[in-house]
Amino acid sequence: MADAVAVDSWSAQGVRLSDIVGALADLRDQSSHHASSSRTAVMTIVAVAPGDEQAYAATGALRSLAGHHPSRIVLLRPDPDQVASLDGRATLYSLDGDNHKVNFEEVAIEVGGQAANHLDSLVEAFTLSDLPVAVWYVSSLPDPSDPLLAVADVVLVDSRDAEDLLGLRGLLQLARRRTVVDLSWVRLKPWRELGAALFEPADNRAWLGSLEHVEVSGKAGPRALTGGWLAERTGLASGNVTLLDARHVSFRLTCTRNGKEATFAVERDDDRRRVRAEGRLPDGTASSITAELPEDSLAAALAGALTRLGPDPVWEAALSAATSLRDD
Amino acid sequence: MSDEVPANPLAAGLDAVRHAPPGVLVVVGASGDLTARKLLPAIEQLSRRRLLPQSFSVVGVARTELTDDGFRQLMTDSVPGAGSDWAELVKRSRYVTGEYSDPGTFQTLGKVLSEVESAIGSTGNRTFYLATIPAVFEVVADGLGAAGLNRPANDASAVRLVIEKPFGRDLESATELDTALHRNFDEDQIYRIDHYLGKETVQNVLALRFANAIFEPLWNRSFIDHVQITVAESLGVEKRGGFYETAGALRDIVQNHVMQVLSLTLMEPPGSIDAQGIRDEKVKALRSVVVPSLESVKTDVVRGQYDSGWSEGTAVQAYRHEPDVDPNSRTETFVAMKLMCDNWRWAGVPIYVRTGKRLPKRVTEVALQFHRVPHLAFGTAQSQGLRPNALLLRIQPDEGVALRFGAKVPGQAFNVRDVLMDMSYGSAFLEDAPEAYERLLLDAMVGDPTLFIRSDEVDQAWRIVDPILEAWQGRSVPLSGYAAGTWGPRQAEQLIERDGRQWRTP
Repeated sequence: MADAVAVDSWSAQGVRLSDIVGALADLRDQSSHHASSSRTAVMTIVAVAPGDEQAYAATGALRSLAGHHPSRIVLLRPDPDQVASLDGRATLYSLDGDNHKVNFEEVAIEVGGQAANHLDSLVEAFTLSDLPVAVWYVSSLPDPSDPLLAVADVVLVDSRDAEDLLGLRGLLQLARRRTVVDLSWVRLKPWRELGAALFEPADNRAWLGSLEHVEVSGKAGPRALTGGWLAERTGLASGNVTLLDARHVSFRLTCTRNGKEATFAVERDDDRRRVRAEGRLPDGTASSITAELPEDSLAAALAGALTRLGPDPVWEAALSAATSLRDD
Repeated sequence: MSDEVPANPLAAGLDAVRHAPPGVLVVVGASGDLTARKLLPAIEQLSRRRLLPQSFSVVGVARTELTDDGFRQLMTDSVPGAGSDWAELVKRSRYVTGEYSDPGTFQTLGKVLSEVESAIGSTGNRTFYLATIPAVFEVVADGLGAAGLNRPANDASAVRLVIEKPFGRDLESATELDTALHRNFDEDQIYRIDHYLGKETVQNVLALRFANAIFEPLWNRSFIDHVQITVAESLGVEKRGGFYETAGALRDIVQNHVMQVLSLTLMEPPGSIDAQGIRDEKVKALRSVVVPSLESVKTDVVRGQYDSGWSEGTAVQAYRHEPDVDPNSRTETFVAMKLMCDNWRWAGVPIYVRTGKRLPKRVTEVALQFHRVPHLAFGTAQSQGLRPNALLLRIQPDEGVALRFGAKVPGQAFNVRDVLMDMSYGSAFLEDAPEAYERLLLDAMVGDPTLFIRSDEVDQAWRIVDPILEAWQGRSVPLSGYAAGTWGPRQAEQLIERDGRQWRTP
């Protein structure tokens, strides 16, 4: 599918919110006289991305999903330390989809001053009627008291942004109040699927009853989440889960029965975007499965997250268990 | 170790992914076109999605002389750009050359299966896919039976037989085929494929009807004026002239695809969305369809055959000039018909069906047209062109649902005209749907018959179609020509206009 093309755009600095709203309406009005295809949208996605790099990556990923999941994109770039000001840009995009043309809109607002702490007051003017609103915190976990959360039907976060277990505890609090979708959890799905697949054969599954120890490596958030998931799902005591620092997530389950040991491991190849799972039984039998990872992991994680917008009790239980782990 | 192994705790919360159990897929007719074009790519997709276990293998059987390596090369060539898992699966595959009428073929197959199962560690699950011409279904089933391959080796394994349409040429031959298959296989072992049922959008008819409260109350004679089902193809018979001469549009499309779509549209809500619930209701719906009489075929069924014309900007030849087609052929490439359904829900609601080749576009849709408002308060000038509401289920292409209703034209005057509220599945969901064969192959290997056709469904469909075939045997029902690239013969227009209605333009 081709990239989305900007059809028309407006931008101005030091404006009022109504100027941006009006400009967007004008753009749509002008566009409707020239384009035969109408806007299609299934949700409003509000992305909060203070930095240039994160904003660029976020909008790129969202635009790439437009062919299958067209949304109105509202990019908010808050900076409370700047002087109070709104700089706005509204753009109409068009994308030639597989069978149809998709038109969608993107609004970007740089918010300086105290308004940066009250983004909720800016967002509602742009949300599409009767469609869900997803608020995506692109590079940091939200403060549970952020008023913007009240606008969200679903909150997108990435537990990779948690620096320690304290961060995950804050996320758990948030998850108990709002529907949260964790991009790390979505990204870790191949690990979880392969881990589950290792125990599909009944012979392997029987070893889970003799699970003694789990070792999980990775960055702080994902390793704790994975450790929490494994502990919670297998009933393993948190003291038997070891967390280690590493670039990529991997985990190893060690099971011992009658003095014999079976191991089950899932790890990512260093040199390829591929995850491999391997089970080894005491009789020397080994089984392995691999899964290719998507090239654009951010877009793929977003696609997965936006496909299921409801609460995920397994994630919540994993997160809850993760907060009980020890991570030195 | 306890005998009872608990459920896999790590699978909780993951998609309800069904994996094929360890076993062997035996493709009979493995050197043929269907295998290369559809089956092998579908198996590769299943492998790519990690839905096949390592203890899974493919064994090909066909008359074409091939070695194991030759078949492996065919597998590789059929799926260019396949992943590394495919290469592993190809290595495990085997091939058996032999005539289907030769018992030795199936004895050899039995030995090869034992070797393969021993090598991969399978306990004996076997799925036999008959990708052959229908004429050999019976002989293959008998061959499998004679070699003892029709029954599972133990209680923990299953043997299934998958066959492709057409299921007979009429009710009598369909019954004969069933009798022949049942000599060796129980009904619950037989999986009859109509790949239309593997299409997501056909399954979406069920979701639209039975997962939404707003449609079902309107889904009856009180609100619906008539139903139109269109299955149109822009292509001609291409290289299938020889086959088409023996089939025609009625057997090729109406008896199976149309009847499946029709039954899903007309059926009552099932108690549960499972194989028995759905198939029971589909059969009941088909039973309610009035069987055309020989007389009514003359008035309510139109058959046509395309002449030369223009299709998608290209001059195309008449059907009778296509390769392998009799120059005096009376095979129909177009059928339009009016059916009625005698039950509480649909009494008095005509169902107009139209299918054909070399029509202006490729489209499959079901349109439910609602009654007009009892009194239109707007003047004729104000509501010019305003049509009754319609709900449109687009099955292919651009799959989706659209609702047509009237809206005020902006301005001082109070004019109303039609607008379309249009939902495209492609714009609402991020996940790509599996191809029909991929879905159905996995269903067969898992043992889920929901999307396969039960023998009584086949019988009911033939019950409706048989009188038409019988009436057409004489010359009393004309075969009307139509220019390629048009919506069929004039008689098809008259069929619906006679009732004061019009065909939609999809």
